[in-house]
Amino acid sequence: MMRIPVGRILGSGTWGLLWVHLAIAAPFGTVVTVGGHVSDVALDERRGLLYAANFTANRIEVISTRDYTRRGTIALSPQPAALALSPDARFLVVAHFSKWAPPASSYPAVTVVDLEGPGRRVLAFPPAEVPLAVAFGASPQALVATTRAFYLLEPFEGTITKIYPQSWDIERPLDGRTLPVPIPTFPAQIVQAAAGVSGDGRFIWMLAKADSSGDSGSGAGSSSSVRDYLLRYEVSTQQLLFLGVTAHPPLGPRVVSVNRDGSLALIGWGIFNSRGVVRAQFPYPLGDLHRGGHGWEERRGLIYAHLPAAADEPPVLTVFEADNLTVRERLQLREGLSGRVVFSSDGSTLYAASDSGVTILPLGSLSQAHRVVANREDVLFRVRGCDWRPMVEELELVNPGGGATPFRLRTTAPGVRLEPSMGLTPARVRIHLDPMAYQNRRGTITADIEILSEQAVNIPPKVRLLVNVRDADQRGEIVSVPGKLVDILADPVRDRFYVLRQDQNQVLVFDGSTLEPIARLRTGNTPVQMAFSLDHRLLLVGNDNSQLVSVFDLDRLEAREPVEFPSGHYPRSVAVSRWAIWAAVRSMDLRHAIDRIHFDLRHASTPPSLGIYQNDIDDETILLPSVDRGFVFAAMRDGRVLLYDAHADTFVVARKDFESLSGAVAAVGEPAFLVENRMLNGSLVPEATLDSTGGSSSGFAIADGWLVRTISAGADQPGLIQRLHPRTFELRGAVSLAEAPLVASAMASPPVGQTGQTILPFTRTLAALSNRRYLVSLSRSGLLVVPWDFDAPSAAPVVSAVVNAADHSPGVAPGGLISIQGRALASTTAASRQTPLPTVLGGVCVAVNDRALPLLLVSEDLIQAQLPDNLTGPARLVVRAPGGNSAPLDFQILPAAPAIFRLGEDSTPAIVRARNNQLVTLTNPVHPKDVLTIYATGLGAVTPPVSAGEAAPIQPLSSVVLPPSVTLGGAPLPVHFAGLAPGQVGLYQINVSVTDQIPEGMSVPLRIEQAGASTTVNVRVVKP
Amino acid sequence: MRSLVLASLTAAVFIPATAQEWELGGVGSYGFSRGLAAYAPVGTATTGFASGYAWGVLAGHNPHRLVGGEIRYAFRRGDLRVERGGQKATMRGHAHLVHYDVVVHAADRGAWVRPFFAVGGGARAFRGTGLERAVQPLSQFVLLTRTHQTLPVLSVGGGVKIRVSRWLSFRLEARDYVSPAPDKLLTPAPGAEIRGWLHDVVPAFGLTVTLR
Repeated sequence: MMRIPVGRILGSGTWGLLWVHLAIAAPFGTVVTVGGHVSDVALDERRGLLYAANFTANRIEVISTRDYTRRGTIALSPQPAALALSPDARFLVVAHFSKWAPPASSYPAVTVVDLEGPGRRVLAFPPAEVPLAVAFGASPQALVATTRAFYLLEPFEGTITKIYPQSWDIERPLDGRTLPVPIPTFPAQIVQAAAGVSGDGRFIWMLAKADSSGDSGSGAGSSSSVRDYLLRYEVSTQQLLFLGVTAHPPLGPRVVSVNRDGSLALIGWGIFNSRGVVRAQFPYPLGDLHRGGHGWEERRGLIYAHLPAAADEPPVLTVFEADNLTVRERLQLREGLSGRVVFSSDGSTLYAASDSGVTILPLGSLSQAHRVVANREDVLFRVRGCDWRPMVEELELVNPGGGATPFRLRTTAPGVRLEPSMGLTPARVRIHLDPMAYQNRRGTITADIEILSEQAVNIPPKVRLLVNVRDADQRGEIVSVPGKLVDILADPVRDRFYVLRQDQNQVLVFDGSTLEPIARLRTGNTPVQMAFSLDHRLLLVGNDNSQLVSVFDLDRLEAREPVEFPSGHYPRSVAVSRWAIWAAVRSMDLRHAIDRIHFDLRHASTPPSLGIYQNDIDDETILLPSVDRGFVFAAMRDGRVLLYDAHADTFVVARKDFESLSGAVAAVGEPAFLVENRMLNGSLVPEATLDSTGGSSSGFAIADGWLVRTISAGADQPGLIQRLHPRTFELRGAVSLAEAPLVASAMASPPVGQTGQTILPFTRTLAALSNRRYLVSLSRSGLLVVPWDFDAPSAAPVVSAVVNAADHSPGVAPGGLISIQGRALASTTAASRQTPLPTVLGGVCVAVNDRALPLLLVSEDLIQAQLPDNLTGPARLVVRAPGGNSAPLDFQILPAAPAIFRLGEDSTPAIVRARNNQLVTLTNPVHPKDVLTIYATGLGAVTPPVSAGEAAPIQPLSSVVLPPSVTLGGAPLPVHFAGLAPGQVGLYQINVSVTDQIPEGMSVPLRIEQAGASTTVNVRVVKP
Repeated sequence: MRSLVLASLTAAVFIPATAQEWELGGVGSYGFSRGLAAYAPVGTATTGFASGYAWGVLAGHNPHRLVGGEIRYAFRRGDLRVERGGQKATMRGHAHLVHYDVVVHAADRGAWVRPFFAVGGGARAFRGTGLERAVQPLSQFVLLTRTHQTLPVLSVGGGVKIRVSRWLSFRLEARDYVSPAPDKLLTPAPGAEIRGWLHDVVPAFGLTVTLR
């Protein structure tokens, strides 16, 4: 496999910057310097010792596992290359690599050290049989691999028995470098072999270099292509299984780690099964044999590995989930690993060969180490076009172990302030956003928040900051879904849709009605594309760093047995037709092809040709079935296209009408296909072209027979969604989207560590849900959910009047409730019960002098809102609704404009008698000595002030600044309180007591005067 | 109420004392009140006071063998009401009556059975005491109001006195108390009017002690 990670294209400078960033984390673990190069390690838990083979110093370093100090050495024959401790911990077997160029002599041998006595035994091998690796399984005999044969060594008796070959029938013998070697050359580069043992001791896996010096032995077949051998030895049957592998890059680091039952082995950079299929691999291996190391910790189901993607990269230990190499955590190392990794039996300590000698990591006390972890991957601010008030989101930083870890936060996002920007965990960080910094932007702008800590041993991933700014006429609700989303499919049978999250190797399953996630399915490494089985019961997922297609049962939402691909084939794109299932594969040997999947057998094969055409495709190829699954369309980056006909079961069309192809793809018609803005007919002849002036096509979907297309004009611009005639492409409707849908260039980003990234130039980002309620697009913030009838006509709002909400008179005052009258003000009716009141309701927002108003109610012809509490004088009001923006309406905000609320059809004044707590009416008249509460609005400023949209406090009460006077029939009434009604928004109350001097009558005027404004209602008064 | 008592005391002072017979007693009764019509643009309802018990005291003076006079006080329980069809609204209420009647007997003082006819006048204090409500049924006709109002009352009636012993008599009688409708308590709704006089027919049973 030879791929250049995106990060490397940018040059070593980028990695240099990354080094500065990564250095701001505390290294984890302890390094024991040995003064030499360690080629192998073995753990003797019974004695509390670790043995490290010092290849160049010709000795075994003995290190205490209690205090990590060197206790001594065991001098040996030169070049101890491999170590193995017998199961009874009595014997330490050492393989000596001795392969010298003449005139020097070679003395290959194996030393058996009796750890319970002074004795040792040296077993010599012929000069041509250089020991490369040694291992004990669940047996008292050790397996010794030499360049020419395999032996069983009985350490107690000191005997060796050749078990393989009886006759030499592999293509090449094994090999290592010939000494002396250039400066510098490391043991792994010299020996080029490694061994690992399954947790249960039943299997020993080995990796060794094939001899490339010329033919030898009785091997048959093409010998020049085999570079390495994978070997699996079954201890109980003494059966040895060989598998030749040609790997690009070479299988480095030269380490073998095996799972518990020996069914899988992590060899170099890939997890192989016994058939040589790569179940998962690290996405960016250097292939250097001496750089890095790994170990399989079965107890936790994790793989700990140092896999540098660049030679000068700072050493980082990555913790992977063992099944698909999903990155779980990254820890800073003191130095790079250089070979085998072993674990204590309880998994609490990791010992590894490293650059200076041995690195010891106390995994069991990782919880006590300093670490910093954020509780969110993304922070999304939703700024509505008429609400520019500062916003706050929160982020929690914790040490998973519970301790206090110092941290610093850094961001370059404009208008963002972090509070605190440094401190100790646990910490609740408030992220303050000033939307005014984005006033002239629309769409979603992204930035990162870096989490730095000189004491933390982990390297926290950045938190992505998203600021979405939208007008009311921009459609789509954003569902924040972090991660790298690369594919989406709507389930035609169930009310669900599926999204592929590539960085976490997952299929996210969403409910199509609630839009809530309901399941996560684990794929292989770096999933690229999904496909349904013909009966829609299964979901197939192609992976770019696993040689298999993942299979899931959609009824049970469980994984099924995957489909294995030929060695070196990575299925990126999968398509299911009525007759055959195809996969476009990237091949390790760069002969990319289309493989045919034999689903019942769960394996794939490479047909020698595709009909009359050579099976030789671009590695960036996408496959799509036609709508009726009668065809499979293949589009390639280099402009070639292919068509498979399921009825004929062959490829019937191949063309190249374009220099290159990329963009959105979809199957439309029977058959017809869309690629970017081109329509290809059933013979793949370009038939029509869509208008592309709006930007790049992101996705296509068919909804009610219409073609729906999403367009991106730029990653941080609003997107566009169009409804087009499926044949003529006549535009039927189009609306702006809240943010940009994804295109391939926006999906790609510099890779981080060993998290894989494969972005095909062809995108499928739009899904029409089977419930016909939504269209869902992959977008900048995750998902953008657009209503099915997104282009339903909606007129621009027209505002006819602004009046106070109490009695609909024209006077309005600060903090008062108002009614906005007009038409087409909203496309739906919605009311708010929450406080503070929202500034966007039903997709509508209202601004007065560019300040968003808190909203109580929106409907087609009425909006009720609250004026700002500190705004008087000339005012300009604009309503922003999905249909557009209204023309501005100018009006005056008076210092005070009291208005009593009217209730019911009779417009009964909202005046309550305290005696019986009922409204004053003709049948409940005012009596002398009554105490009345008058509910009104428009009484203006209060003290202490209360922000618009907020409920008035109970303590302290907010009283009006301009005192009102109240008369009844001309007789003044004492005012006990005038101010905001506690717990209410924009509602004032005036408490008065009724004197005896009031006149009696059926309609006696009650008048409120305030700052030159007044209001009058008539009430019945009865005396006594 | 105070005016009623004052008027009664004044009447008692000026009644000359002759060879006469005095009666003191009490009555218990039940009043039947005929409803008044309340007219509104939407139709007609019936309003007034509900029938209810009454009790009272009397002081009679018979200076002549056939003619005498009585001053009487009565408490009449009667809720305010308005009805139309199956709909009804009420409010607790009562009335105090004070009146003086001239009584003409049909038999001499010594007769065991003395039928009589009485006519007189006084004052009636209506009082609404129930809870006011913001919403009252039939409020488009009449507004039942918690207040009080005093109006003149005409008393017409008759009965029979039956002497049980030399000094003890019991009586059976009935009176019709007629007064204008108390429009402060039974307030016509805007646009409505109440027509008619309030008739309250009160049959009673009483016991008196005769003093000679």
